[in-house]
Order: sequence, then structure tokens, then C-alpha cells
Amino acid sequence: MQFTLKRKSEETSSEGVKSHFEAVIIGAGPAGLTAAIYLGRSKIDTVIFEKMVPGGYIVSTDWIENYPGFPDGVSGEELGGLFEKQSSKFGVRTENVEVTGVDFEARPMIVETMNGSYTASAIIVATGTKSKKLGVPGEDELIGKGISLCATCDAPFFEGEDIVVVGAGNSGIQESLYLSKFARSIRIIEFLDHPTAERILLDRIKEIGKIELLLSHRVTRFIGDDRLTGVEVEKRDFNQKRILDVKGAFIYVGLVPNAGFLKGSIDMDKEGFIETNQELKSSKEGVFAAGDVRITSLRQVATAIGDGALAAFKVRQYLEGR
Amino acid sequence: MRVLVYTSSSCPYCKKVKNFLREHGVTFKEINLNFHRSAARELKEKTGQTGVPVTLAGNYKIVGFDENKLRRILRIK
Repeated sequence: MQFTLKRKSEETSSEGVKSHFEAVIIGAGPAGLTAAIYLGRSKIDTVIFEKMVPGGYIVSTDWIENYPGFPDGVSGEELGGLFEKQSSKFGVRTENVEVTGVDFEARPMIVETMNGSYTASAIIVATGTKSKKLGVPGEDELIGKGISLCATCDAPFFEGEDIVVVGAGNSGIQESLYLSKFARSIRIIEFLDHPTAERILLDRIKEIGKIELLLSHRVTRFIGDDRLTGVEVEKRDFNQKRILDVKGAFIYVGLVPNAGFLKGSIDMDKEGFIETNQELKSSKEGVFAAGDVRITSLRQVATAIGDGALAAFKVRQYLEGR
Repeated sequence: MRVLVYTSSSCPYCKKVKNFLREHGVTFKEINLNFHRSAARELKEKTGQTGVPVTLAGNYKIVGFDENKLRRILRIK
């Protein structure tokens, strides 16, 4: 499929200009790219809008071992690239542009981007999530100056340093394993009295030796003027505070949805995750949500893939039934 | 103006910066910290930054993907 994306205002002046699509997918992570594969194979005229890079959140994940088909594991970057390659093979193009607004009441619906307006008969929101911050003093000021939300991006800055990782879920433990190739020592701070990561990952940190788990602790502030010099932690229940002298801190305490631009136009929970029914329909007709951005009990590549396939199937049924 | 972009392999914002510079015909030298590990220490000492991307253009430092700042400093319309 060949087309050129142009501003809507140019629609009448240029041949081959395209501003209406049967389906628009917002977000090129695993869910969005899977939906694109299915819609492309159904010959449904589809475009993806992605504000960052194709692949989504996983491109900054060091290693993925729980996605079937890769018995030795695969880097997030490689897997994201493979998803995109497969979706483009079936004629769906990914446009690197940010969606700034939507009108789900209009028919056809309107999608506003940094490059202009487009219309769509159906929309799949698959914008995923980003890392949640702790919201403690010093955090915002020291991000990029000792605090990081991306281990695979920033690990080389912490060669030979003592660091902390906040959060002992799968992400925190997995990224601690990666960071251990660089850092001298790692203390993982977990608010709960037990880590929530998979057993296999916890066994690995024991083997490495230089990673210590601090359970039932929370970070109360980050210390430093122009660079991080320490992290104040408090033991739960005992109100005992102490300062850990570290030069780096990586935060993995959960996810927040990338759905701020949809606020007020679709039903969400109080955290901003999109409400859907079992068929992935949102509160607005013709709008579906897939992957981590919707309310769900598990956010993994494998679950996003299933969501993408189901959303595409439901879009196809919706378009055929109109 | 000499443009240096410090990156790492799996950093999405680094790709954004590189794509943006290429789209606008800006010639730049990339220093990937995964392959030049000593460069991370140098950058940290020089700028205080512990995150990528960092773009150095002349005497200017641009942290992250800041399109407005990139446009202004590199005179991209």
C-alpha cells in the first residue's frame, strides 16, 4: 500500500494525499503493532501514530525471557524491531508523530497530531505506560543527575559506583541484574516485606552476590544539590531513618498510563487506565483499547499481543457491521 | 558547528534525537556509551549528567529530546 500522509488542509490540493483511515492505531508497542498485523492482513486501511520509537516500552528492556518463541531470551529492542518489521510487511505504516487530541464524538472520529488532523472510522488506543515516579523530595531535581528511570539507557554512568534500585518487582530485579554488570554494589529497596518478582530472577540475584534486598523500606527523599549523593530510607513500622551513600538510583515502582491526552473523552479509572469490556470496547463507540494502557491485571508482552489481536478482530467486526 | 550526540543502545529518546537530526540534514558524531564506556565518566564530569541523550553543539548542551532547543541552537526551521 502506498500513500503519503499530509495535513488535512492539503487534502484537496495534492494527489495521493491521505487524511482518512478506516482504522487508526495510537501507539506502536506490542499491542498496537500486533493489531496492525491483523488489520493489515485484513486489508483494512490502517495507520499507526507513535510519538517515540516503534516497539514501545520494551525497547528499553534489557532482556525478555518470558515471551514464547525465544527460548534463549531476546532484547526488548530486537523484539520491538521484529514486531514493526512484521506489521509493515502487511502494509501498515508507522508515522513518528505525537497525537495531541481526539474527538470521539465526531463521525468519522478526528485524531489531531503534531502534523495535522486525520479522520478514522475506528480507533485502537495502545499507548502503553511509562515508569511511575516516587513523588518524594529531590526526585524531580535529580533525575538525570544520579536518578534514572531507564537502566539500559543510563547504566554506563554508574561503572564502579554504589547504587540503589527502588522496587523488587520483575522490572526492578531484572534491571538490577543488568546494572550489576556496571555497579560496584546494588541495594534494592522494597516497601513490601517480600519481593514480588519471579523466583527465577530472585535466585539469580543471590548468585551475583553484590545485590542486597532491603525489604520493608521506603525512600523518603533523595539527597544532593547538583548530583545525587545519598538516599534517605525509612524502615516501615519503626520510623527509623538512615541515609545510604550512593551515586545512583533507578526507580521501578510501577507504571502510569500514557493516556493524558484522552482525559475527559473516554472512561478511565482514577489512575488514568482505560476502561474496556471483554471485547476491548471502550466507553465510546468505535474506540477500542489494547495492552498496558487499559485496566487489566497483568501487563506483559504476551498479554499485550493477545489484546492487539482481539482489538483488531473487534475493529474488523465493527467496520463490517456498520 | 560541531555536534556531538551521546547515546546508549536501547535509549528511545536517543533514537528520537538522531532521527530528528538526520531528518533535518544535521551532521553529527554519535558517541554510544555502550561501546565507549570511558566517555560516560567524561560526560558526567564535564556536564553533571548521568542520562542520555546529551547533545553538545558548540558551547551548548541539550539534555534529552528537546525539539525546541535543538531547533533554536541548530537553527532548524
